[in-house]
Amino acid sequence: MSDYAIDCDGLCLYYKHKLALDHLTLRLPRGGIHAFIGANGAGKSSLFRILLGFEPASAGAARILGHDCTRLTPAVRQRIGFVNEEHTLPDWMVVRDLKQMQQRQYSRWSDGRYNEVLSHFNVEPKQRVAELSRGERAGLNLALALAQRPELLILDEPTLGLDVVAKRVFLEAILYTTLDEADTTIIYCSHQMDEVERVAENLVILERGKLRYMNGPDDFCGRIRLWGADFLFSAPNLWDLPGVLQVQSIEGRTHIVVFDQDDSFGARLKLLGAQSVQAMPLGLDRAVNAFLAHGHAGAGSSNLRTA
Amino acid sequence: MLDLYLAELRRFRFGAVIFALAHLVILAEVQQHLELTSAGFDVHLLMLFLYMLTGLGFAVLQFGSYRRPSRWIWLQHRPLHRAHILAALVLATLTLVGLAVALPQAVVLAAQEHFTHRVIDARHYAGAACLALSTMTGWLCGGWIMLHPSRWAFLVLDLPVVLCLHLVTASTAITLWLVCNAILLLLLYTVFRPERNTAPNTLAVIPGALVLQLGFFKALLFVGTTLFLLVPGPQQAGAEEPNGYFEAMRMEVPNRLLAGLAASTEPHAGDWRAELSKDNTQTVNSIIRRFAISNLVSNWGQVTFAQGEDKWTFSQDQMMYRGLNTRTGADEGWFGAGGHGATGAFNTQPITLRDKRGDLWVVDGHTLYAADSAGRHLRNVFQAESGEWLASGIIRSGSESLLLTNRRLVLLEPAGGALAIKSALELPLPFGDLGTVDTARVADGTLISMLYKYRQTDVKGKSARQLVYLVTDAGVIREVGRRELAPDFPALWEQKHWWVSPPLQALVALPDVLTDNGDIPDAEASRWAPLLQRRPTTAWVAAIACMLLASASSAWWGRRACMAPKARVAWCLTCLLMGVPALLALVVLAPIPILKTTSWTRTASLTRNFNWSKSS
Repeated sequence: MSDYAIDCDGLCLYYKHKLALDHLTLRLPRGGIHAFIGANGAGKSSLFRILLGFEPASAGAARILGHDCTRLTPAVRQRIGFVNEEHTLPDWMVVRDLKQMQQRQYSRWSDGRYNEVLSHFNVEPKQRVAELSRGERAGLNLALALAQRPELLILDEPTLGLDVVAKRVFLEAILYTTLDEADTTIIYCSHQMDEVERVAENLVILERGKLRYMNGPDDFCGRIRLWGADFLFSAPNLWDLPGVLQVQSIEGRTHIVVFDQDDSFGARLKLLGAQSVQAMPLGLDRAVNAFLAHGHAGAGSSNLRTA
Repeated sequence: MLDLYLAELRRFRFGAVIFALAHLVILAEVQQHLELTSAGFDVHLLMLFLYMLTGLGFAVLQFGSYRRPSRWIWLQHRPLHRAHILAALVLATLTLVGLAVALPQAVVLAAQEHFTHRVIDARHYAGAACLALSTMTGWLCGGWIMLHPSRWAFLVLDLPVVLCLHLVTASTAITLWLVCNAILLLLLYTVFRPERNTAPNTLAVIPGALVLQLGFFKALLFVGTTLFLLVPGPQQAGAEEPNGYFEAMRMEVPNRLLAGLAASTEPHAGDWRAELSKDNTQTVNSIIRRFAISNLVSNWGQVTFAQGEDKWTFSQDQMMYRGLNTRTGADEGWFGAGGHGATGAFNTQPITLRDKRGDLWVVDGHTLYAADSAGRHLRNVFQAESGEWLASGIIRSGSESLLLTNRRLVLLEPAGGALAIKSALELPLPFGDLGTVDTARVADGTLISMLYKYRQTDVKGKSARQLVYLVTDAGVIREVGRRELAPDFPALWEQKHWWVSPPLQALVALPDVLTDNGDIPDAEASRWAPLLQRRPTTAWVAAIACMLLASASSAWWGRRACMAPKARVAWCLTCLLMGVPALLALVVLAPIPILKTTSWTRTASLTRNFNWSKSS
């Protein structure tokens, strides 16, 4: 059995004449919740399509649960759950019938888990799927996916469009039900950093089809720092300094977000004329924001070059 | 699989029930105004088209929703083999078509059979089955079109046209529709894959490529013919070769006979020419080319005829006409080979013809019947030989009675209430090439002109010609004139169906060769004759040139499309065999990839500065 839930090597994908995945090499260990983060078009959904065998790679190789993604058998598919942002379910079916259909198809089906997850949501067995609210639909989708007891569960922006309460219930359902399944690997793709911070044990940041970072969220926050500096006159050009991700001028004070810079960065600022400097940690939301904004397509014009 | 099948049924159950009810009402209403069971082939073709369109529309709706990326994942990402998933969809559609299409038709037919005296044969139920199968065909075509990555996939619609739209027996028609649906199911399976935007594997490419080639073959012929007809040249109407067949066909009958006798060396030829006028000449307008064979899936020829208030409809089950009083709806009994009340079966559905004197003749393929003046009783007057088909009613010329068959022209004389052969003339050329027959009464007897044409699909290296015979009063028949006709069109134009792609032309012709559609055959002709004809040298040159050009072009295209060497060789050989249609199929199935290299300088500069990933 492969040690990796996902194993990609030099994966490339041209999608609509654009390079959606750019020689992506990624080995995701089994177990735990891995958060996939990236701006729109970073290649997350493309990666999932390749992993599930719905898109052939233009180059490179990808394996999921140790199996070649281009040759997934029904037995392998049984071990992989997938929940997408649209919560695609057959609108014409009644919840009870849908559950029975999935139950008969998945041999590892857990009725207890299905009921447990669904108990968080106000879904009646007699309701038609089309009658469910977006939150209820998400809950049903998650219940169906978790009840399959998959070894790998891919959640592609599952909370998109959910209200605060539905989002909380959804996340709790994930956390509670995965506590007793240590070998389950969950890939959680989201733009909501509060969710990521809450559930993720590992952070995978993709940018323009490339892997930019992979490690724990705490480690990531530890490597990104915000420096505040006061310059007597206008601030010099700080972009030439190493590791600068973001430069902002707020009420006369220059804020610089940097990556992988120790205290010596403060000394460099002082050498450039800063009268006072101060370093402070950043939350995951802002750290990721700064990290991604640096390479974002629209960042050129509004890249906070306000210093 | 059963669950998916039931789920799909649930999805469309209300729609299917509503469609079934509406269908039933429409059929019942149309039946009041137009008796569909005895309507012509054109009406049945229109119905076939509408049912296919229904199936196609359903597929567009169904697969259109499933092919959305998220729903496609929902359908395909499950612990079921894709064959089982497709089987569930196909079975569900089959059930829905059975409910919404076949059932209302069966109900309407059964109601007519049990509550009216209308003729309902087993073939009518078979016809309903064909319509249901055509709906499935439309659905399978629609599925392939929706899931195939190429926009040219619509060419698959040519497959049922080539394979199924033939006037054949009910059992043959059902077999053809089943074969067509089996092929389409195979095609659909090749594109019913999770990664549906990519080309299937080599084995799966073959059936799809063949269907595309067939479609391109037909399209090339259609477009090529249309464009060529717009260009001034000998192919246009009115610009035919002088002394050709078309010119002869446009002549007045006396002039045609004059042309046939122009080179005659007979001593009395001048007298005959002088005698010819509109008053003593006639043309045989009603040469029979086809009989409605037994258990025909649709209708052809004289299915019904009226006698006063009675309407007689031919029953293929009984091979007799059944009468219905149109005012009272009462059953008028049977009209068999002996006439009203007789129960003798006809050989085929008969054809009624009147001669110059107004006598009524009934022809049923192998037997000629004389009808009484009221048309209620028939008398068997002539029986064709084994394998011989009658091709006309009695042709009167003066006191002579002539009869045309696919083998000979027969001069008949009365013999004890029937007609006996006085003398006969074997047809000099195949019956299928016979364009028209003219007769003229002259002092020495009866002149008979036979004008032959070039059959575009049957050249056999023979020239078309006009032959004139004299039938003397003693019953002697001899040739008195002949002239060779020039080809009306260039050989390349006449042979266009063949040289564009000989194998595909054979494939298109194969259903007609293998099935019996009731066409009167050439005497002694082999069933395979249409496929084994000799072709002119120019057609061979054109065919070989097209094949070589297509093969060379495919080699060039294959390199540009970055195809694997083995695939390139396979396509080169295919193009060498199939010609230009194969090249067009290659262009569609293996487009040249458009790859763009993207330069992100900003990202590159970042990469230079940092080691972003610990794991890497």
